[in-house]
Amino acid sequence: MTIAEKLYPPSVAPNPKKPSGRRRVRSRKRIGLAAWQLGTALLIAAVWTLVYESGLLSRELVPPLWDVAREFVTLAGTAAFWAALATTVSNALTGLAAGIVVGVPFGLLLGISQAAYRSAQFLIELGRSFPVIALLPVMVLVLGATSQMEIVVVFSGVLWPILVQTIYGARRIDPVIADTVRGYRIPPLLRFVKVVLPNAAPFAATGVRIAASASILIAIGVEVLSLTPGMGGNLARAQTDGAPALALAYVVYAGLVGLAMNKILWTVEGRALAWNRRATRSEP
Amino acid sequence: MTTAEHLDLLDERRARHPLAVKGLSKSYGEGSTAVRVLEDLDVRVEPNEIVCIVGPSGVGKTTLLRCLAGLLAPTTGAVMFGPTTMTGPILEVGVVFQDYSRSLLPWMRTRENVSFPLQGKGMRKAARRALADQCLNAVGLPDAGRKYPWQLSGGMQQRAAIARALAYQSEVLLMDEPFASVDAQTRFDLEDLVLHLRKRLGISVVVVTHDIDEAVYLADRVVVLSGHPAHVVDVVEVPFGQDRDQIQTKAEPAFTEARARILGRIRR
Amino acid sequence: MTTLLLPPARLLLRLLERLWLVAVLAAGWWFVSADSTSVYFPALSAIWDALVSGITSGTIRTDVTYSLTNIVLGLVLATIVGTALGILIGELERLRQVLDPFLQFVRSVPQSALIPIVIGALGIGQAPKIYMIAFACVWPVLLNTIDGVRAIAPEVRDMAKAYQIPHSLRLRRMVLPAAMPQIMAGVRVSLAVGVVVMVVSEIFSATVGIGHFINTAGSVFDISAAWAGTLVVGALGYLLSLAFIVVEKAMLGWYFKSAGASSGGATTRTRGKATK
Repeated sequence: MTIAEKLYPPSVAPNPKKPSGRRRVRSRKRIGLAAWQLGTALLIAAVWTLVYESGLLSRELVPPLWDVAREFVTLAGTAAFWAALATTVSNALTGLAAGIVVGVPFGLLLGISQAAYRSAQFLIELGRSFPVIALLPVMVLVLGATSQMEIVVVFSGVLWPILVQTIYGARRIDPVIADTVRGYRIPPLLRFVKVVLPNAAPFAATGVRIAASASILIAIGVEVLSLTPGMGGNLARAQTDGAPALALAYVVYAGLVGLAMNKILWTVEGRALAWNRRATRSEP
Repeated sequence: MTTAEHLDLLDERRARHPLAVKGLSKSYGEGSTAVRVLEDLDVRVEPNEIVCIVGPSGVGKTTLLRCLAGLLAPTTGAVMFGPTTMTGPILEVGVVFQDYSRSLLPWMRTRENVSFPLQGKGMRKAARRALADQCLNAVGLPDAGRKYPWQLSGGMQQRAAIARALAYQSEVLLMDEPFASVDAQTRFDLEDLVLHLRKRLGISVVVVTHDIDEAVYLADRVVVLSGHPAHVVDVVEVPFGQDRDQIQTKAEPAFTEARARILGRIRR
Repeated sequence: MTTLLLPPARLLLRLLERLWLVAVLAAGWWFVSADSTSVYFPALSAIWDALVSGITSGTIRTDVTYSLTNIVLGLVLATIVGTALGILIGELERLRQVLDPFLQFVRSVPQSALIPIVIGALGIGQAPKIYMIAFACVWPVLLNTIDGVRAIAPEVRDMAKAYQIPHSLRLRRMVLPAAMPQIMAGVRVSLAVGVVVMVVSEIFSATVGIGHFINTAGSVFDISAAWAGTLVVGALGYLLSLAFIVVEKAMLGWYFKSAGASSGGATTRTRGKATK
């Protein structure tokens, strides 16, 4: 009996003979789970309301849940909100695109040349440990609180995961494959196209996925701090204007955008690299 | 194996109770979707006996072993240790898992691995250590205590796993495909170690294996499982006593005969 | 590691190979910017002077001490809470299923978006900043711990069951060490998140701290000092990640060595989930 069989006893494996019974059991379980989750949500709401009513925490931090919900719904009906959302997402994606355009080719280059890699290693370590947001005050001075500035900061943040993952993927070639390539005297160009690229692709994709969720976070962070137009800017302004419920509604939207981004990228990555599922997780 | 002199602490280990399953059936799932794996099994392991369970792969040998260990509850029937019905794992039954490289914890030295279950029983540190060292000696690993499991070879890791089961004062050792992933020579050595421990300590052993040669070489009785759901299709008595030899025993006509009979049973 | 075993000449060569590019870039910056009249890109020598004067006057030291205190306390708090909760949730599959959508959502919330709310509500003191860092850092640790606990081999769980290992011993000696590689991967991500939140919280509003130093310098158009502060943050980030590697080596000695032993030197294992 294999480990897989031990892990998943036959009841969990698909049983083509009697699908109806199985489905019934399953859906009953799912309803139970949903009920529990609903209960948890209600519990959170209850605790929140209790904290608000008791005044235990500042009411600026914990506004009435009802107000947040109302703002959340109202926001969706305003054009300004959708404009802010579009600005934030497009700035984040532009920075991300620039990161890919620079990061992937450089990553491949550094991945195939040992000498180049060793020379750049220290620089890369410095770069990836640098908190890009610290560039913000200087960048605001140089470029102003503009979308260009935001894009530059996003780019300097997302470059590193893409670069590092691509290098890692290009360098990490199975020794057996490497020997095979050497044994058959595959010429360098062919080797690059047929061996290095396919090998690096899943890792680069992972880097892009990490970078994509980072790009949204950086974009919103930049906006919050510099009051650059976008979701983050609106959020910070709502807070300083004394509208904590509106600010929290923006936070919820920001979370939803991040969640959606993650879901989309997982799906895209899964589709594009279905041939190489085993490599979807890799060195951070 | 020059380990007899180290075994004083282990001498109390002699098996006193039979381990038996009575009318055991095991199903996974419920109602109309249930899949029956084992049906109405009766197997009895007498004290100091070695019983091997063989059968085609996927037949449910491991399920049976997990029931014997108290890790799985039978759907119907019972697992009895002596006069008592088992409802979960008990002290007297030790398990040696198939995947030794995973069941030994890589963050503990080998000695700590062997004495870890004793810590759970509340034994004092000095006593744990002494017993662990004796058990490592008993399995022929006198110098491995300070090493980490991943610094040992596969065969040595499996010896360490056996030492852990011995240290747990088990009278019955359950082994799930214990030697499936070691090379042939190591495998013969480990088989002889099992025979030696049985003779020296008086323990009972249940070995699940797909290797018929191994089953006949080790066992006093071989239980053959087959079919879906699996049931006992044959029980073969092996008449070689406690002392066996890799070359001579395997050359006996009785060995060949038992082997052919089991193979025929599984094939059919 | 292996470089230490090389003969001195080879060692020197390796060091040169690693450092020349950074040195050339720094020198390039120094000379190209030497005659700079741009307000925004002052000469590197001017930045250097600002850095030195900041250090000698003691302001940078005070700021760095303050920032470091915040991030270390915040990260430690997050690690303790995240690991404890992560083990609890990872061990209780049902609880994990119920909480999963909530965890996924909270982790997707940009932590920096919460800073104005938290600081607006709790004030600009040190404690709110530490809580904020801890709050941001707890999620990667928590999610990684859950993953780590869930990834424990079924053989190990069977072993614990068969040998009747008591709960507390099992959690302490089996579950925690088994999940430790994943936990450390989470802490590594948290460190990066924490540095960002640290700087952001100080830029947003503070009276001390390296982020505050940069922000003040920027707002009075002392661009050299702002650049100097930015470089200090870079150095801080790098040194913190070096310190983390030392801690990780100490905590996970067995893990790196066993990976080396079982895969013949290729020590790259897949672990960790990047959440930023």
